[in-house]
Amino acid sequence: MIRMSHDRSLFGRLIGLLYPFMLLLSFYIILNGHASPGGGFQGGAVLATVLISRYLTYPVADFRRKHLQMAEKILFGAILLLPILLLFSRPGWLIAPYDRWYLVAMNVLIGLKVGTGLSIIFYRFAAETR
Amino acid sequence: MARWIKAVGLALLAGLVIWLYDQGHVPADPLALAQYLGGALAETGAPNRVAAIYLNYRMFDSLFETMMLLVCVLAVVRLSWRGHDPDEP
Amino acid sequence: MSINALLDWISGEHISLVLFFVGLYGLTARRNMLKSILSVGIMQAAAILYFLSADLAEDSVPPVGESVAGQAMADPLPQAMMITDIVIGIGVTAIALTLMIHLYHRYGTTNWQKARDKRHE
Repeated sequence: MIRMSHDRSLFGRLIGLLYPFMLLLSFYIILNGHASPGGGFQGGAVLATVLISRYLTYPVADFRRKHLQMAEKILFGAILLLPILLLFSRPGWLIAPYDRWYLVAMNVLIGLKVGTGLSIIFYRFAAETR
Repeated sequence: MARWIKAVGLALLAGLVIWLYDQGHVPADPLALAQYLGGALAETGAPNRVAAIYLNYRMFDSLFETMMLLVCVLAVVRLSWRGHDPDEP
Repeated sequence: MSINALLDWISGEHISLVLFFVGLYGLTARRNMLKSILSVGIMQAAAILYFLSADLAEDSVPPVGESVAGQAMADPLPQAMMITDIVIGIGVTAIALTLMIHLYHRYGTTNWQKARDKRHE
């Protein structure tokens, strides 16, 4: 959400303008990770910069970090469960295990997990040194 | 003064290691390379061979890597200063 | 040594070995905790550079895409391994910084020697 109030600096406004493009770039890297250089880990690192730059311009951790932690644990469970389910399921039931969509789904899960993990680390350090 | 002795000793050691490294060349085993490069597109449907390796051939690598990041995040949260959590009331 | 021989000598492997020893020097000769963590990071970057550049053919293409079959491709296995290395480096650096903040709040210094002296008091 872009907030354009009058008491923010030029840097803050510029970062506010750049949010959609950063999100677009990260999801481009994640979703094309199976066919071009990139992937879940790299796109997740770009995704974490969205929250980090949000903290740099608006230094209030106004959302609960516990929600991010819960999201990360749930995403790790999904990363663990998806290959196991595909390995033991009937071939061709949901998606074939050796398919492009499996790669895309795993890249998305890994990207969201890495993004939330790096954001939690950064917000923890920011809250400690405040 | 001891810092200079350490610097000179480590420079000599680096020179020795680089000299030893330049003496011989041991190429990698071409068997795994041929399998990864030859069958990746047909077996996994991934034109990016690196993605084919870390999502299909060596899935456990990726799994334990994400698990290690999760454990690292938990350690950073739990080991912080005096156990005080500023987000919690 | 002519300039061309020097430029030929500067390859990824040599630079990574030199960087590794630079990190080792920082680890042995400095007593600041933050510089120790930075030195470990430099050594990890050297390991990544070595694995990416060792045994790399001169005219190899990146192993990405469908149209590169038949050409000499770079080995994708160390590239996939180095993603793991980068993530492990992030974890090691984050936990080391957390412990450094902890030690600083407890002993009031970021020097290894002074912290040890205060612990033995």
